[in-house]
Amino acid sequence: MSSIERATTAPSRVVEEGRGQWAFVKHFITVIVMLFLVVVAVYFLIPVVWLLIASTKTQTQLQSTGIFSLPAHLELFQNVRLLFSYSNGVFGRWFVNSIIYSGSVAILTCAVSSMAGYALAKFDFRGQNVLFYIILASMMIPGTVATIPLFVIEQPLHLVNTYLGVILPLIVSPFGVYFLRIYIRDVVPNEMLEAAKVDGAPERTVFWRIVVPVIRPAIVTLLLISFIGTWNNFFLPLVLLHNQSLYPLPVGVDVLLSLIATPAADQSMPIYQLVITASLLSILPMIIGFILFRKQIVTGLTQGSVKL
Amino acid sequence: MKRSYKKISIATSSATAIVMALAGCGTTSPAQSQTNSSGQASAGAASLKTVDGLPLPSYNGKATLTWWAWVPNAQREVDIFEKYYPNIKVHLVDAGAGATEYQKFSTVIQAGSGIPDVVMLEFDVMPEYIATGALQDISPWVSQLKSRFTPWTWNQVSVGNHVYGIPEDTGPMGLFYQSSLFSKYHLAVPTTWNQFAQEAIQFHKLDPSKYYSYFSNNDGQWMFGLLWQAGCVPFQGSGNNWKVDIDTPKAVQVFSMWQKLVKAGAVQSIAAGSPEWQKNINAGLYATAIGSAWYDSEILVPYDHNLSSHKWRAAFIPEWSPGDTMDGDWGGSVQAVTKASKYPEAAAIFAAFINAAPAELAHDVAPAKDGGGGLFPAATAGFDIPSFKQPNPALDNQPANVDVFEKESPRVNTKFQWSPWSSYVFNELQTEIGKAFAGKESVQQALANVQQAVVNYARSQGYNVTT
Amino acid sequence: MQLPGASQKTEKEVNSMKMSYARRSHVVSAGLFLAPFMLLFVAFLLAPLIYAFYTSLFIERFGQPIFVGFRNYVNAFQDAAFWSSIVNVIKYAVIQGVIMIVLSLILALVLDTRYAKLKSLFRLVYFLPYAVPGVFASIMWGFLYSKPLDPLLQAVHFDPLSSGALLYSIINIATWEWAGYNMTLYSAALTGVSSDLYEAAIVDGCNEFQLAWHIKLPLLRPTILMTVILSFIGSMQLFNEPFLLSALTPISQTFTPNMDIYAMAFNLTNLPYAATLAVLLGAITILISAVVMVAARLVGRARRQSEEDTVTTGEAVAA
Repeated sequence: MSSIERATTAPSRVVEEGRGQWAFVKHFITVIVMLFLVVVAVYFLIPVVWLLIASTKTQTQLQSTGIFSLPAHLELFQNVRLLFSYSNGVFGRWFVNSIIYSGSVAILTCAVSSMAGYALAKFDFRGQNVLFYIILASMMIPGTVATIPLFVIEQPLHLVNTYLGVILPLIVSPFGVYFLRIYIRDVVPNEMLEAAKVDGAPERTVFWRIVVPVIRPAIVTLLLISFIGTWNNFFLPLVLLHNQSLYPLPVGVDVLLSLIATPAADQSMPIYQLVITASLLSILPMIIGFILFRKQIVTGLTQGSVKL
Repeated sequence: MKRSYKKISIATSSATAIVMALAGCGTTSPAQSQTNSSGQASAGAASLKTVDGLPLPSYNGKATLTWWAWVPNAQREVDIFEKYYPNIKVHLVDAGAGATEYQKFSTVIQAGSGIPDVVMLEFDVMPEYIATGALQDISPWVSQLKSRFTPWTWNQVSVGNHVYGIPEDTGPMGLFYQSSLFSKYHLAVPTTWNQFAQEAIQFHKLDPSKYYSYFSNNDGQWMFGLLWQAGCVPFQGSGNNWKVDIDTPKAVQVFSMWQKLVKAGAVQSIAAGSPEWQKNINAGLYATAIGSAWYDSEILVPYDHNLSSHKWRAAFIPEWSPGDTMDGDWGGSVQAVTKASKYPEAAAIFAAFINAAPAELAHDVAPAKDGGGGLFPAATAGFDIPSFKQPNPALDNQPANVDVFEKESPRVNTKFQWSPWSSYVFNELQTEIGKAFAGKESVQQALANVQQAVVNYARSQGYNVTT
Repeated sequence: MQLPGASQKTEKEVNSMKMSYARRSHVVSAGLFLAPFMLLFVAFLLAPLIYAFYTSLFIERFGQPIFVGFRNYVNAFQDAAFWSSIVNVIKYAVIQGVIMIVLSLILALVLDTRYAKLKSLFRLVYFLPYAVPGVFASIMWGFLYSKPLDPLLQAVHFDPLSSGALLYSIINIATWEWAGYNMTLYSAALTGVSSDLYEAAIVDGCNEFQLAWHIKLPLLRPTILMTVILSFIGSMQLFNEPFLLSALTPISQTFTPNMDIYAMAFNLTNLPYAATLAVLLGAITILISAVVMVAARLVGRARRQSEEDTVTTGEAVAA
């Protein structure tokens, strides 16, 4: 029972009668609330459910049958096969690319940000605060401002149209540094560090053996946020890449989508089916991951925000 | 030429290339040992041999070229070429179509790496890329081929004696109509726009479930085709000096007619390429369509699965005055050689060969679903290819190329020019006409707005613009 | 005992030498830890920004840059299409922000009451769209908005992709994407509140609604402020959704500032002007964010001031 319920359950005849009325009101409100929650849940589920159903249809069925009706014959596997046969299975390539980008960025961001956060939290040097405020301020800069000049800058570095060219800029996470700095400052006791240094441990051992294990929850949080953020990123790879085999899923599926408005000479490629099936396969892994790792993800995200 | 309806158009920045070229700075490249420094075309300088009936430079070196194109079955063109020039290898890349490819092209040019040797461009973006200095002057190797192409196409790839690409295909405009509907309702094929408009109203009364035609509200290139056909010349100039005259009485007349028909419900204003439009084409909802020579292979065949019952046919485009024979062009492409190419001569030979050699033309003009390019050729020799003259099964077996488009082709107004800011202009026109059709402003006001916006933008970028 | 030849130093000097050595190696260590981040930060964030500003001072002719000083900015100030795109995204940011944050708050608060059953299930469902990249959200909704694929629309004679409805259709997509995420942040903040506070309120006779309004909401204020600002910054950069929807319906390439910037760079090959607009967009976003934060701080200070006054008045009265 919740505290409200405990507090309001007091024995008396008046309250006995009131309790009956109160119970009715309570149930009524519960019904209303549940109804509301269900309606909202339906709203959030509609597009995904539609996608699931649509991916079982062929092109003509898509246009002729109702949006929530399943066709007599489920074409899902045919659609998937069609998708993977497109352009020599480039879809599989896009999938792997997304994993490469997201994984690399997540891991490297954590490494880089935790080191920087540690330096700002536990070391004392001139200009430390100024540096921190610069990093903080850069969080406010809309990311896309730098994107277009970024690919011009990457040219002498030979990073244009490469994996690294997309990964490296995404590692720069002022938020990550800010977040880890605060976390380290609050959670890592100075005494532990002093003790280790007195014992003669070199800095990198102190960092690796002492700081990192203590801040693991924060690192997990940052890992998740970076992974998801990179997985969803569209604009940066769109601008920096022009080789289809390097595209992550969002950019790749956009290529398919833009085929909708382009008459295809090859009629065996019904574009709607491709786009819909591609979208389904692209979002399923993340959705399944979310359902399975829900607790960790939510804890991670909310820990982050609470610390803020 | 494959069309893309994702309409973010291209703008151009003409000017300096032309200015500098005319000033004699020329566009020399290391491989070009035979041009004189003023960059003048010297057809005799390159030693020519006849390849499949074409006078082309003999090329004895080795070269590997990258080619960006979206022509259907383009690999076949490469295969044919490599038989004649085994020392030149070509790597075909599908970098998207239309605007998608142009965006990538802009990206690689600005990044300075990954630039193809030969790139497929449409006529309306040639001024932009010529001016940004992205394209190579290939006149030393190809100027002897000028007479083999429809004249207005060669004009649009050249500036003076400098040639920046080889015209590939064109789209002289025409009227397409469903002969099944026309016989059912006893309609006559309109020869003037007046007749078109009257018949549209009439038809809509007869069959309110259908439209007489559709207006592509997302296709600035098509809209300019309408103006072209009406005799408008909105842009004139070269280099840094341009005259912009968009809001002419004729232009107002053109769009006012369409506005009236849209308002009356006889014509549907719709985004061509959108899912709804695709569905409507398939359902035969439009009695007519203003299309061009490639309309059947690019639009009807992919989207209309009921061709045999709709029985589309082609006719001459309606005229504004009875007895006129004026046409415009919609679409059409060029194979251009890039400045960054390490093998400009080989690239020029390739571009010329695939668009002018009889061996290639036979493939180019064959229908796409038969494995051909499905193109209406810019090279006039293409008109003699037997498959070009064949009855077109998509058009109820009408030999439309011979009946209609070969005749329309010379009627295309040669005075028409594209501006260096096509993308900007298209976007403005589409937005303003959209507002006009929604009743928010008059057509006159819409065109005046476009005129002003374009002039302002051009001047802000340092062009001398007169109106 | 000192070795012969060793310099005469006081103990204090030796200690300070030791400290400065320790100090130096301390600073060096800090520098090493910071180095990777700073290197990347300078190369991939600062340098492009500076380069963007630098490029905006030129125009390009035939691939050659010509210095024009601030002329691009002067032209940008007169660029009606750009400013209408700015107005568009500000309008979008405000409307979408309000709708989404209100929805997220309501969901978070409702799910924190005793009337809500199956709390975890609903929280999961609401949070799921966060797993869906914006690109796919746009595709799914884009198809749902397309008449041929969505017979419901045909019946209702409503075109969500028409120019009048477009902004709101995009607002719907964005709300769908982010409401659950923001709700999760609020829920987390709520669970961090001590239950003693709730007990006290209940003893005073509060019902759930009053609890939410008078206690939970004020406690959420800092979190709400953070989400407001982050949402605003994100909204100002609107690009993905309209860019993807433009495959299904005509959308002006100057619909949002980022689309305008993109078109300038890649359709008109006008990189300097694109850079100019990007700098302006960044400046405007930062300016408005800063104003909002300062205003919030001032309001907070004023509120705290009035609370203190009430307390002191209360004390005075009680005395």
